[in-house]
Amino acid sequence: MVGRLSGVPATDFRALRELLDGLPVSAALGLRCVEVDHGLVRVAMEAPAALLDGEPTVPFALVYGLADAAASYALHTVVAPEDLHVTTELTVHQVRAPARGALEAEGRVLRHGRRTAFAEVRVSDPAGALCALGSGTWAVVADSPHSIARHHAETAP
Amino acid sequence: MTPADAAEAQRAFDASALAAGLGLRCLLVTDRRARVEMRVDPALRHPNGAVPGVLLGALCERAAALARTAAGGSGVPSAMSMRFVRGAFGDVVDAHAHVVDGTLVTVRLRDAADRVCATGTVTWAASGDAA
Repeated sequence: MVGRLSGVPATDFRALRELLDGLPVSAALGLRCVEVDHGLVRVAMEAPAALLDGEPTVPFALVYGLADAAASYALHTVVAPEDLHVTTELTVHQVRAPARGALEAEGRVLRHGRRTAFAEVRVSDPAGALCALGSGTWAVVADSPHSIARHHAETAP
Repeated sequence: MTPADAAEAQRAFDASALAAGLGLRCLLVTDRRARVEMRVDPALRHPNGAVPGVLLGALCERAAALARTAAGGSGVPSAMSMRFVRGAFGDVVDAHAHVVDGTLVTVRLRDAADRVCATGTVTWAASGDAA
């Protein structure tokens, strides 16, 4: 690790992916990491049928959640495991309502400093067409006892 | 909106798959307002006990959509912006949605301790139109 906020070493990306896929909320919403790299995470979402009515499109409530997750997960790759990052502001524009099926969101960190980070996210529909894009700001809390990675490390068997 | 209309809107909301799946329940709906409660499954909370932002976002959007529908609007939102003021803790989060005009709804979320944890604005491209 180069610096305090320089991120998780590339060799840890597999472990990070397992951590993110294992979050309870990931399972509940059908989120799955398909790519984890420095400052970039791609997340697929196959929304559980139990969350969908007969509508032909995926509700924006879930699209926003997917966007938030992808951007937040991308922050995990650049923020030190002992630090906590929390979303402070996120705006997502829906270009078109996506058809039901596997959506994919690409979260990308634009800049991260000692206290603040910026990220953007693009969500594609099952045909690969852009359906939503967003950007937001995250607060970085240094050396937090609430860090998810730290909690995971301390409670892992 | 008559009491019967409100009761029907409340029933339809509670019966939706997304509401049932996320633990959402309509507490109040009027011509320009909606109040929705989310009962958070403890298993879905973050390790530090906070309610995941993903769930807060879904609650915000659903409450806004309900208020807009009650006000006579339709279609899917074109954008949603949220500010997360503080972590939401506890087993219940309340959302109060208020229709500002035909295309803009503001939402305020409060956690179990009745503290504002997030605010949101949801917009539609045009009154009654899809994005």
